Formats: sequence, structure tokens, C-alpha cells
Amino acid sequence: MASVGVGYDLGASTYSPAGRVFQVEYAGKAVDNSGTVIGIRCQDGVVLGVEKLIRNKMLVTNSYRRIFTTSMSSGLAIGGLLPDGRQLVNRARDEASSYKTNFGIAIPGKVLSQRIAMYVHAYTEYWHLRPFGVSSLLGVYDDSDLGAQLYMIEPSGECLRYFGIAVGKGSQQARVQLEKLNFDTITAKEGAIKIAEIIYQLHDEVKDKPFELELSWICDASNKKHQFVPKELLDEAIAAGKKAAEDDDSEDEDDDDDANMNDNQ
Amino acid sequence: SRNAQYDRHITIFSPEGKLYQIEYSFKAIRLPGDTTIGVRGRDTVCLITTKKVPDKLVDPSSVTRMYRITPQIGCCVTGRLPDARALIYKSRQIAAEFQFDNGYQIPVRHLANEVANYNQLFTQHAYKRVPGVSLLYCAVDDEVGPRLYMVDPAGSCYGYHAVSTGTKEQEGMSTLEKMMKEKREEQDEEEKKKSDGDDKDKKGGKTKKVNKLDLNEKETVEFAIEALQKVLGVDFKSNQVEVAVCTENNAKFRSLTMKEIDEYLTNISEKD
Repeated sequence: MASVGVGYDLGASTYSPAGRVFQVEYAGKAVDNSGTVIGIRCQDGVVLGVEKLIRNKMLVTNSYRRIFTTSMSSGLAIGGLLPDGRQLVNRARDEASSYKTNFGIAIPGKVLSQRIAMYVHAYTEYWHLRPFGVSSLLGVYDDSDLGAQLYMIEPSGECLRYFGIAVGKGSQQARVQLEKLNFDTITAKEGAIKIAEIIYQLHDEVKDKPFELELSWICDASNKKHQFVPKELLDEAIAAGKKAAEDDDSEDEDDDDDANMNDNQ
Repeated sequence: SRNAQYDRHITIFSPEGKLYQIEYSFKAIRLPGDTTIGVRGRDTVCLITTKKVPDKLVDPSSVTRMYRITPQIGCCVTGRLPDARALIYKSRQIAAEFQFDNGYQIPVRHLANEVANYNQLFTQHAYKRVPGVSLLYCAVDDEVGPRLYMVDPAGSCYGYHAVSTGTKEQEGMSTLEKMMKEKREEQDEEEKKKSDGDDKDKKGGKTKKVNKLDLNEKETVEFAIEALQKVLGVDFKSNQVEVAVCTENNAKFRSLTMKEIDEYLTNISEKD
């Protein structure tokens, strides 16, 4: 949908003649340029995973974070511009902490997601501000009827609850893979491994820079606390991911062999 | 003619005296593709709107455009959803402050007007975008009975017997006018039949000239559902729409369950 918003795309406070707000749509494109971020709501928790593209070989391993803890039992994964994302993380942390102070209980997922969404939306209304170039995946595991919840907050401020979602470069293909999952039975451990498989399969060795996988969860196994997955599970996930990527490659090779055989006959 | 220099800033009139940004915001209401219809009967107000779940990955229970402002006042939003949510929060704030200041529930007419006035501010200030949302407020007011109001981006607020908004707004309005006319003719005929059997010259055969829909709860909801079916041109299933009502018997704003919607849909198809 190549629509040039000439003159109507200079500020978030302007509608185009068709009723679109181009600045918000462009912010969405900033998200599409970043590494893939995937979240899965499993039976016993939520798992978040990020394909962190490493721009510089001198970077200290694991010092570049894209998943942040916003309260004891909630975590936010950032897709898009990380500096913008950090603003959202700070805001989410403030909301969670002031809710706890005022009401005495941990902020429920529904409330926290709405607060973040309203904050993001506020930046889409004014001439003097630009929208956040971030789609954030919020994982929460609270004591309400909903249990484990996964929300995505888009640059427009739209916020929906998902069973599984992906944003970033490989999001289209990742969503196709996610639709095949059975969300009624998948466990957090399986979810973590699945995310790694999808990310490794979609990562383009040639075109993209090398990457690190960041995985976190809030689940029964972690006592409903947001943590990075234990090292053993991370290693297992990475191994599964690499294998899935190789299987993909070797499938392509087999297809080539078959094609050659047919040519020779 | 559309001169690009005037379109961008909300405070600037075009040479023809138009405010183009407000016109564009009305287009923004149509963009998402939803249509909403509201109908007010004798003792009931019913709101119905289309429900589209974007894809399999979305949890359908989180997709809704019906919001409760107070237990009695409900609102259906159409258009840009993030803008809508901000207005819903504003409505709730206005309602809560009124309750606190005055000690009783805000009348829905006053609430709708206050939100409309809030929208109007941004049609005169350049720094903030007008929300691309139309809101349908409904309630059964304890003083005046069922009421239905629509607030739009331009800051206008009108009360309606029946109204449609969203992508198929035009078709909706003409369908509703037609259906209202038919309904009134039906009711006038029934009145005539009753007074024909009457020898005494009580009313002198005077027909009801009042412009309202004399429908009970069931009839109001069916009217709304039929109207939406006609407008969309398809028979929809209960999971493709959201329906909410307030009635005198049960003044609380509530959404109908899928089962209840199915019952209405079955009744309507059996009528045909």
C-alpha cells in the first residue's frame, strides 16, 4: 500500500484526506525494521523471545537487553527503537509501582496494558511530539481469572490480548508458524523452544547481522516471577533452534538434488 | 477546491469556510470498516456493532467496542480505537467527578454534551489532533426514560431515535428511516383497527404523529439486528457482532451473550 502522504505526514496531529495519520503508520515501519520479537501465551505462563541483531563485534555478550522486568510478574519485550522502548519500560515500572502503593496488590495485566497503551496513544495526538517507534509485547501472570496474559501495544496505542504474536523483520512468517501451534496445550518450556526454532529459522545468515537470542518467561516454574529462562533451557532452545535452521537448509538441498535427478533422466 | 495550504492546520479555515481536518477525521471513522447502529424504543435502548477479530492469534475476549461508563450508561465507539479509549477514560472521569460533586448519577444527556464540548476544544486548537471516533452513548435515564446520543469529532452531540455510524453510515441511516416509516405505518394500522372497533368517538381516529418507535425490548433489539443485516447485506453469526442493551426493567448496561444473540437471529430468520 504505497501511499505517499505528501504534506500530511509531517505531524501526528494531521489527518490525510483519506483519514489516515501517516506519522503513526511510519512509526510502525520503524518497528518492521528491527529484529523479530515473539511472544507466546502458554498454559502455564508467558514466554518472550527476541532476535537481537548485533551491530558491532566488540559488543560484550548479553550486555544489550531488549526484554525488561516491569513488575514482579510482568515483563516487556521491545520491538523497534530501543531508546523509545526504554521510555515505555520506565513508564510501565512507574505505573506498576504506584498501583501497588495505592491499592496494595500487584498491578493486573489488563490495567497495566491499558496504561501503557494510553501513554503510547498520547504521543500520537500532538504536533510537538512524535509517536513511539515501538511495538511492545507485555507478558503478565497475575492472580486474576485470566492467569497468564500476552498483550501487544502498537505505536498507535492499539492494545489487544494475544495467544501468540510476533513483530519485527520476520513477523509475517513467524505469525504463520505461530498459527499452527495449539495454544490450549503448549507449556512454557515448549513455548521457549518453539520461539528459538522460529527465530533461528527466520534469521537470514547472509542478509542479516549475527544475532543473540534473548528468552524470558513468567510461568509456574519461575513462581510467577519474570525471569530470563534458566541457562539449561536457553542452551536447549539454542540447540533446537540451530537444528531447526539446519533441517530447513538441508530440506532445500534435498529439493535441489531431486531437481538435478529429474534433469539427468 | 482543496488547497493544500489550508488542509493541515485545524485552526485555519479554507476560503470556502471549511475546516478540512475535521472532514478528514470523519473519514478516519470509516477506515477500520466497522458499522454501528443504535435504536431507542419505548423502554429500551439497543446498540449493535460489527465485531472483527483480526486473526487467529488474537484472544477474541479482548476485542470489544462496548464500554461501560457508569453501571447505567454505556457507550459504543466506532473509528480509531486508541483515540476511542482515551475518550472513554475521559467520559468515565467526567461521570465520576459529577457523581462526587453532586451526589447522583450523571444524566446521559449531560455526559454526552460534556464529551462533545471536550472534542470541540481540539477543533480550535492546532496543537492537538481531533479524535477520529464517533461515540454512541445510551442509557435509561430515571427521569426521562431511554436515551441515545451520538458525539462526533466536530464536537456536535444529538439525540436520536435511531442512528448509524461507521463505514456504512449513509446506507444505515436510509435503511433505518425506511424501517421506521414501515414500523410506524404498521403501528398506525393497528391503532386504526383498534379504534374502528370502538363506537365511541374517543380520539376521533387521531393517529400517532409522534416521531418515535413504540417498541418493547424484544422488538427494539430485533429492529436493530434486522437493520444491521439489511445494511451489511449478509446474514451474520452471533460471533460477528456485539449487542448491548439497557432497559427499564434492567437499567444496567449489559452486553448480550452469544446465546441470546443466537435466539434473536433465529427468531428473525423464522419471521421471514
